[in-house]
Amino acid sequence: MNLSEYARYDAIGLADLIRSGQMSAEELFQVAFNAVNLVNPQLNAAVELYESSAALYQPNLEGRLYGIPFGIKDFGAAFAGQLQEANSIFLQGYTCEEETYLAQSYREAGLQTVVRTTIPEFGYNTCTDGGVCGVTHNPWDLSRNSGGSSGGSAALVAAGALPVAHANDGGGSIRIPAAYCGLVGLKPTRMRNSIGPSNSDVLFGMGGEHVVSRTVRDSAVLLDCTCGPRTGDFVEIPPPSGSFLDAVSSKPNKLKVGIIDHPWTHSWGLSNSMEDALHRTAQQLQDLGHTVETTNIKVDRDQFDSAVAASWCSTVATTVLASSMKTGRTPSIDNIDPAMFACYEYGLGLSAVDILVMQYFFNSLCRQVGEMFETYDVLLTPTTVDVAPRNGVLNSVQAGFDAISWTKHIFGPAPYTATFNITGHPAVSLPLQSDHTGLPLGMHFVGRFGGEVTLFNLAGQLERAYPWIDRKPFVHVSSSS
Amino acid sequence: MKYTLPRMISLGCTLVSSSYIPFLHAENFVVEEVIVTAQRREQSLEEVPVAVSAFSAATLQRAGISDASDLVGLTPGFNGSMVSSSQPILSMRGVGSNDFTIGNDPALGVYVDEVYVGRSAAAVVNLFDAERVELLKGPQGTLFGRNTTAGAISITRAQPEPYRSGSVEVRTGNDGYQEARFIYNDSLSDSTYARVAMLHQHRDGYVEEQISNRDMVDTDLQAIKAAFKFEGEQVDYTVTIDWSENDQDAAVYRSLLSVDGQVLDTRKAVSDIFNEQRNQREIGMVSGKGRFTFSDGYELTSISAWRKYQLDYLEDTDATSLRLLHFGVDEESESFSQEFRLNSTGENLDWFVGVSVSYEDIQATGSVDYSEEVLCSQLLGSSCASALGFAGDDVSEFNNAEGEYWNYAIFGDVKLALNSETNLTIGLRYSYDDKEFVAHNPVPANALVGPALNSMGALPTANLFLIETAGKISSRDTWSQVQPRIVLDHSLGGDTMLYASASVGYKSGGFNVLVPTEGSFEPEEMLSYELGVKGSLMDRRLVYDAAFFHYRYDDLQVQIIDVVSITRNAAEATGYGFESSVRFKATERLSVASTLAWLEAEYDRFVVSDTEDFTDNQLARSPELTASLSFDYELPVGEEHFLNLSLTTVYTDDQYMLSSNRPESFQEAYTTTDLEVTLSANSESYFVSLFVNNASDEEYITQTQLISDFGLALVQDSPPRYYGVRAGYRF
Repeated sequence: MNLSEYARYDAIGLADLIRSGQMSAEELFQVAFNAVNLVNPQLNAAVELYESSAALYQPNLEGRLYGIPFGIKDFGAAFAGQLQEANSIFLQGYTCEEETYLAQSYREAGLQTVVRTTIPEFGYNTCTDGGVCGVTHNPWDLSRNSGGSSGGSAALVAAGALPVAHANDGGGSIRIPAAYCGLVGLKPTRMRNSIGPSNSDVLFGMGGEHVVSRTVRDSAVLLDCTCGPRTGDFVEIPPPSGSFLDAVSSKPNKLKVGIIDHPWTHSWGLSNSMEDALHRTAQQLQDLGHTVETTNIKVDRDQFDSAVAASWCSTVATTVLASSMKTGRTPSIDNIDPAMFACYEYGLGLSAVDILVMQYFFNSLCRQVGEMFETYDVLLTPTTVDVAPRNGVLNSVQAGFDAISWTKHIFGPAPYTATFNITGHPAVSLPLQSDHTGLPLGMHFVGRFGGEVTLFNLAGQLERAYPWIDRKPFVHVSSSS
Repeated sequence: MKYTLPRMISLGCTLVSSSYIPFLHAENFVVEEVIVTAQRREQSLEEVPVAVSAFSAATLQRAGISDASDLVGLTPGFNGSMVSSSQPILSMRGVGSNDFTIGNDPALGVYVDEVYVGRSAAAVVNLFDAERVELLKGPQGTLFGRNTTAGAISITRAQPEPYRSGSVEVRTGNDGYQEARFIYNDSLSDSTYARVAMLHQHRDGYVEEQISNRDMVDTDLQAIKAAFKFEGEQVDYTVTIDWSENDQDAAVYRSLLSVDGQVLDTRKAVSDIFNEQRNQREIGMVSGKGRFTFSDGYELTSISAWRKYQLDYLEDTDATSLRLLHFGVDEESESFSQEFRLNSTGENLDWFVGVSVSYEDIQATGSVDYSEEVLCSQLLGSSCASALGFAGDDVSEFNNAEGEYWNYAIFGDVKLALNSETNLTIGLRYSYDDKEFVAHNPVPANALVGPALNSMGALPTANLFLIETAGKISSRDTWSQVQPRIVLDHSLGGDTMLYASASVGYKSGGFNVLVPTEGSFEPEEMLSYELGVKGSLMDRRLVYDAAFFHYRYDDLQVQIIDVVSITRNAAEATGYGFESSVRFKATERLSVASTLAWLEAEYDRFVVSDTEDFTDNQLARSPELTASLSFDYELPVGEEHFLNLSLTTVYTDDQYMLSSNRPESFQEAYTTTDLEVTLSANSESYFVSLFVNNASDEEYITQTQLISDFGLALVQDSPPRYYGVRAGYRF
């Protein structure tokens, strides 16, 4: 199978090829390996390539997605014995001893992990820049970033090297790179996927794990494979009413959509291109029979930044301390980027009272957003304020940041997403629009708590009505081969 | 009372032109008239039914303009930059070319004292001792000849005059800027005059190379011009000898890709050949121009020229610390040209007829240097020994090319006064090109990887870049073209003239030098229509011109660049738009000038391959809107001096640097501003100026190169803010 053909299939399509005997899993692994090797020199999206599908684990032959090539992000879910270094000198050589529940689900689904993908250091950035690996380039425009923190996964999937790749999201890290790279990126409802056994509610419930993909159905089938509580999870949320994959092909009811254009937190300002794109999307929703109304969210912007910084920096500090105990290394500016080191020090200094204040803020935001869903079925915002930023702009190597100014800086281009990490609502970025140069502009849809079915109904309808699958970036396995 | 200066022809005096405004004394409360030779006859700028921007010597000197690329932004419809001194990428109304090989010609013709100096490496776009520069937009084939589909830049140099005069000007500024100009003119006898001009120009580079910490993209130019003129009662003859030498850096690129995860800031680059890269050029020319005036208004002009240039060029095309892709060329050319033209000026009928012939003998050795080990590592992911079983070597592939080009033309132009207000002009040029070309691309003796991959069937050729030829490939091709033009101009009373024109231009066919197996390509042709108006208001306090244009470009020669450029007639394009300029004496002290250009230029058809289709793409370097605004304010200082304050701001709209319209080649709109404060003597015998160019230090890209086979994504960055002091003395 040549690379152009390979890149035409999504994960479900490739799974069908294997099930029907047209291709073997070994052949597909090799094709994916070659594809990653082909585009990586331009993208810098791969930390480590695995020589064979058995390098990390033996994929389940009976798995629903047996043989599908996959990428694992260098943060979050991990397989036993896998290196996980979070793009930090401080964590170089760190090996995970225990397989996480999510990785177990991937293994049981039969996925073949080909590559470990890049992230910004410790994942606290909306661009993949800085740290050991540095810049991950956007395949749509090499002078721009792929986004973060799941930048490596997004770049490889957008370039056609993988059909799907692991991602996680503690402030926008699935949705932002999906928006910048023209992909589907769903952050599920809080606790939809277990993040155990070693974590319960990472980032005080802001964190969630899933994948980036090119098609809605791939996102749905992966969630079907991984969702569900595990023993001892902090919270068990009600299961969905049916399979997420079935929801993709079901037409949604007439939905009432609340649209918010201008950001309610500190930002770089909404660009004209994105504002036009949002209005086009609103029109498309109306053309499909949904109603659209303007609404708003109000927060104290400084309190918002403080709360997000408290959540993230306390987590970074704890991670660094725990790793320090295991590795014996002392954290310093020599093994952690300056901006991240500032966050680590800030986290160390937070008190229990600071965390409680953060939680009070989280609570007030949850109440406000929860009330909005008494009026609306779905909220619509842009995923980001503009197309992907240029490389080098959000680089944690830059000195002079403290935790608050770094938080403001990284969420400046992406002010919409973190709110729904705090509230735990499911939210998906869809590559519905692009600017006049062809760069992707993501549209961000937020559903009711536990409402992924409605989001998949709507996403599937939008994908059928306004398909994006034929839009390809210039750095793509089909044009580079 | 109305003050109008008399028409002044080529005295290097204070002549105003389109947008930059020289210092004007308060009593000159009108916009002066400019005489141009855009139609190969001397006419007032406002009487010429052609879209042309003209800049006088005073304007060029006043604004510190050194070469034609400085006129970008001030000339509606003109765009481009100097990639390096031997690679100017200039375009008019979106039409230009960036193939610098000897098998191709540019689309924008450059003429110096009516001598075609078109080949890019020899194009003297430096405006040293220029009396006047005219930028003519649209095809100028009938009037000027081949290779003017985009338009023509006509540089008229200052001629020897029958009196002693001269000037000295020195300039210094940041980034090691030094410039010195010396001009001396004197009469050797009652009828013989001489003029000598010398230029020294140096500026340090503005791109910091990261390995050596050297500043690159410098300027280093020396030039001398000596002209001797004999002026008799019915004849004048001028012999001009030119020599210039550049010794400066080749084009320097910045890679967009990260190295060890880090990307470069603007105006930074990496090169492993920072010491070896070079751009050394020497040009010599001897030209003779004679005018024989007969009775009854006939004038015979003879223009002869001999030119020779040498170019030694090597650039780091990969912009990395590796020997991955280094392009070079050693080029030498000798050319002769001769034109005879008979002009007649009558009451109702002006005409000229002419013949011309030109010959060029050119040799070039192109090279691509690379390391086989680097290629193995980049493309195969391992050493050559691991991948192929043998160690690689440092290889240079060569392209040895020679060409002999003849061009013959016969042309004529008739302007007939239909009545006292209306003139009809019909022109025709028949042009014949006869080009012979020989090229040979050998397989380097020490090449291992290419031949090995070829013998394994993995590659179709043994050479990796300059596809090898089986011995010498000889080609000969001839092309002929008829280029007509028709113009109707009508005076609406007073100074206002309306005109409509249609013209055809063509660019010669040529040869694929670097890939001789690709053979030759055909000429490209452009059909252009224009509707314009020129005039003045308020007793010549305001002078304006505006033109609508539409062109259709067929058999467009396009460069398919995939490491090595291949030219094919593979596209059609349409462009249309509007250009205008206004010069206004707002008050006795304040002069204002503005230009505006709107352009829509797209490919109607441009299918590159099965997977790449540029149809409906915007032409490269064709911003939709460009505009400039200049203010010049003069105020007296004491009794003997005056101060000029001038500001010029230029807006350039979004544009793509590449026909592919890839986002990496997209340059957002930007605005640059130049400021100058000048103190001058009332007699204009001396002045001192403080100047700032690009006062806000705008950063923008001037060129993009994307070579997907190697994953190379490169840009060139604009120069930074320049500031300094100029001082001059004129006697």
